[in-house]
Amino acid sequence: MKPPTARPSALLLIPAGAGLLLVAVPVIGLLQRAPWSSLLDRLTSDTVLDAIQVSVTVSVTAAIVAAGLGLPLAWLLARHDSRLATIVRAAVLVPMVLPPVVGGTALLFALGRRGLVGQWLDSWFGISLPFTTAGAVVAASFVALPFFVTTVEASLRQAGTDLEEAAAVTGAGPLTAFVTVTVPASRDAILAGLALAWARALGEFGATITFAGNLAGRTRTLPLEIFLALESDPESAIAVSVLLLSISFAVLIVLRGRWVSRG
Amino acid sequence: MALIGAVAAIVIALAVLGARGDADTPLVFAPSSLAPFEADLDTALIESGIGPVEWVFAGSQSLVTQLIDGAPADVLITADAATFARANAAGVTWDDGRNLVTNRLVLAVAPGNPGGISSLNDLGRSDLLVGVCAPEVPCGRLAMAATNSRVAIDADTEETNVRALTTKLAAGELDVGLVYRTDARAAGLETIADDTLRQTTTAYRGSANPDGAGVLASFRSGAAHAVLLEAGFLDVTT
Repeated sequence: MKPPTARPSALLLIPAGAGLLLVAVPVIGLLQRAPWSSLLDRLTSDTVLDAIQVSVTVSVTAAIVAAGLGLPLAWLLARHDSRLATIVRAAVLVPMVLPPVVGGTALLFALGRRGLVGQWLDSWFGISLPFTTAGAVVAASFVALPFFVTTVEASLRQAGTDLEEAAAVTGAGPLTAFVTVTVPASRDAILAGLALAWARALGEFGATITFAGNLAGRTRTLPLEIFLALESDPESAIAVSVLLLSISFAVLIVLRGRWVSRG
Repeated sequence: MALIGAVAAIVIALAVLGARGDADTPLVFAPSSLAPFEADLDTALIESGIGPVEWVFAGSQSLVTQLIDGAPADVLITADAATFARANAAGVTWDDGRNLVTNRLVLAVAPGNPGGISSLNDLGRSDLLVGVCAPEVPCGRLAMAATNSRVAIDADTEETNVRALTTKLAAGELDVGLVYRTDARAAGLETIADDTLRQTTTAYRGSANPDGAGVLASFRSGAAHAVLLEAGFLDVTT
């Protein structure tokens, strides 16, 4: 084994630096336009406070939904390597690559009151999701779920089945083993998955506006507020963007290590 | 070396992609309510000898913001006078502009009119799913102007552009909404006549530099104008 030389690392520095600039320069561009002196006033206006309240409700609920549905899903995917598992995994990941607006349209055609499933929800239970806060939660959960599943599945895979098998030897059923052994062992990954899913739900825009619409106090989340303010009051839009950016950045800093190195 | 080559190739590719395709082709900034008619407008402009153009379709406000931020354009068309005035005040138009066509809102209902909508007053009913454009965008401003003295709208959603609203009405997810008559016509939406709306119109206003003068003239009274009238836009005098 030759020790790594300086030459290839210098070659790597060029694209690495360009990559950093690609993500950092736009953020700096945003920050240098931020109305720092009036930031607090803008962030405590009634419309922004309404949007913060909707955003917190929607993103926290969506993260919990993503974890509740995603944990069993991640476990099944981690423990099965069939062709079916490959197809299921691809299906679960689709919201990550689908344009969110397309996701929102798909949700509308599936869960809208004239939709495939939604028409039965409407006629049997009187439930209509579009244009409600619950609809915004569904849209945010749709986009957030794959972030939770991929994070947790990787960890479950790495942890292997030894602990679960040991639990089985002691007479624990599969569900007991899952709850008492698997989940605690993956606690870090579950927390990381929750944080990532929450951050994605917080930033969600396209699926929300397409499926849940836009109404102050009900479905207008912070990203929707930003989009609207860009039309009428760009400085406030930038102020709210700085808020979202700070939150996301803080989450990712806290996640350091948990998410990457412990997988 | 391969890596540097790859980076260089990417930079060159971006430069090529980022450059305007053809400097002689006028670049037209047009509001998204004209987007459904792009193909017909292309045909009309080419057949009338003005030649091909490049389009940028977006909300009027976004177009103006892009121009203020330095985007190149030869023609700017906005969906209302207020947005045009903003561009004019910012110095990104070439003159005070001319009105091209007008448009007006219609009361559009879900297929089959399940809400039993009969007039503008139904927009105030809380038992219906009611959609309008957000007051920040031209179709929302027009909706406010049209309903101000008639009815307080009990909206369930304020859409950021008229086409998103049209889609939700066509899908039957909203009972009623205020959309441009051209969008209602393009989507085949059922509409309810209301005299108040006939009196509230928005003027599409445009300005061009010498390279775009022919295109703008066509929008005022030529082949492009005819396409828009065919689509349901109205003459400035109506």
